[in-house]
Amino acid sequence: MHPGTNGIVEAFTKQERLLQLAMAKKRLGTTVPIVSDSLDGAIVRALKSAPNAEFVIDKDGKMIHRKFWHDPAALRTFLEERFGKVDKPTRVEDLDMKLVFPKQGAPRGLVKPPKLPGRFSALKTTPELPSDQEAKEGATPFFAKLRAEGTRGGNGKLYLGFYLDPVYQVHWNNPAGGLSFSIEDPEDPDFEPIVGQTPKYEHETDVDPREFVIDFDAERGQKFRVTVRYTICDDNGKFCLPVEQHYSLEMTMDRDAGQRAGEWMLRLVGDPLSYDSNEDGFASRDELPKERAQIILLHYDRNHDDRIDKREAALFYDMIRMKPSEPGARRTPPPPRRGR
Amino acid sequence: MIYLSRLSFLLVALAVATSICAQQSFVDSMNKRFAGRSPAAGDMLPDAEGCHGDGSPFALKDTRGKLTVLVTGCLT
Repeated sequence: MHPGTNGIVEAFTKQERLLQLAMAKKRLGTTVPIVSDSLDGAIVRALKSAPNAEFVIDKDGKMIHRKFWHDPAALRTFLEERFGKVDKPTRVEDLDMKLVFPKQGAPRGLVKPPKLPGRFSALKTTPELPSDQEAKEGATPFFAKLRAEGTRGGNGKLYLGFYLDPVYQVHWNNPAGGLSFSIEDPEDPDFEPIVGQTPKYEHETDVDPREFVIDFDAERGQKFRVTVRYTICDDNGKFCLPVEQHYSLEMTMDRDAGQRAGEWMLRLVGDPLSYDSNEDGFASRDELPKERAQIILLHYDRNHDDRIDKREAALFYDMIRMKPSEPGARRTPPPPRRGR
Repeated sequence: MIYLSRLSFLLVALAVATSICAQQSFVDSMNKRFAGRSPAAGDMLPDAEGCHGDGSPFALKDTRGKLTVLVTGCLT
């Protein structure tokens, strides 16, 4: 839904998808069965689904309910009306969900995201994956994954973000020289390669994405080859590795690539604690604006208790790498006045 | 001066209202789009394949014989 959140971008292989799934189950501490879509999104396409949709299917395989945005309370009401009330409904507390957040191997938040001029859309990027045989023999995985975006308005800007995939538990090895990339046009030998390099960082390591916004003019549909070089070390101190990898980059919008987490999410879901009208330290569903309560809770409410606390708000700001008070973050509309 | 203050207040109020309406109309339009495309109540569930957490195959048709609630989402 929002690539880049917690460093996660699209898995490149089924194995990576399964590792992400296992990580999700561990983080959520849930025993609810989770199934994974295929890498090409066969299930989502068949259902013409939305990122947080809900479906109820009867025993004969017929659809009996669907909703664009999952709403647990409304879903319970639907099930009760359709099938009757149960004596002991399962409550969120009964699930004993322990939100286990992974131990951070290296610091985050040391490298600030660049300011993006205008709106950007994801471009089609295809990693040059090792062959099955090479993979069997232990090919180097894509520890860092490329997310490329172009401006919608055609003002010739290209965003390149290299995100360390958390399933590999590695961090940047900054003293080894940072990350560099080059963009070439394989069809045009006269094309002057475009190169980029991270600045020299004072800190030895971190897990923040390496992001670039560069001037770039290209024809729609034109294809390029991106080469990236970086050095990582694993969090357990067992190895450090220089890596060189390649991607095909196509100047075509990737409609399946979602929208990256960022400042726009702050505009959409806002600063929930500003709605804490009774000042008890929680923004509860009743205090949130009715028309946005569900979308706000979906983004912030990690333990599903229908309210948001300071820790949950902090986790959200960490996720989007921005706080409401920072310059550039638009403030949310003020909460409605009550008691009038 | 008073006129200007009132005007700025109106502009602020309009901006806030526009922002809330824009969010609401976004949700409405997504709802409408979803309703026009995804299988409606009474339709048979299409078939498609993914996998379980252990890598074994999973197909939507595997849900036959069970009342199933399917919620889509993503790790991020």
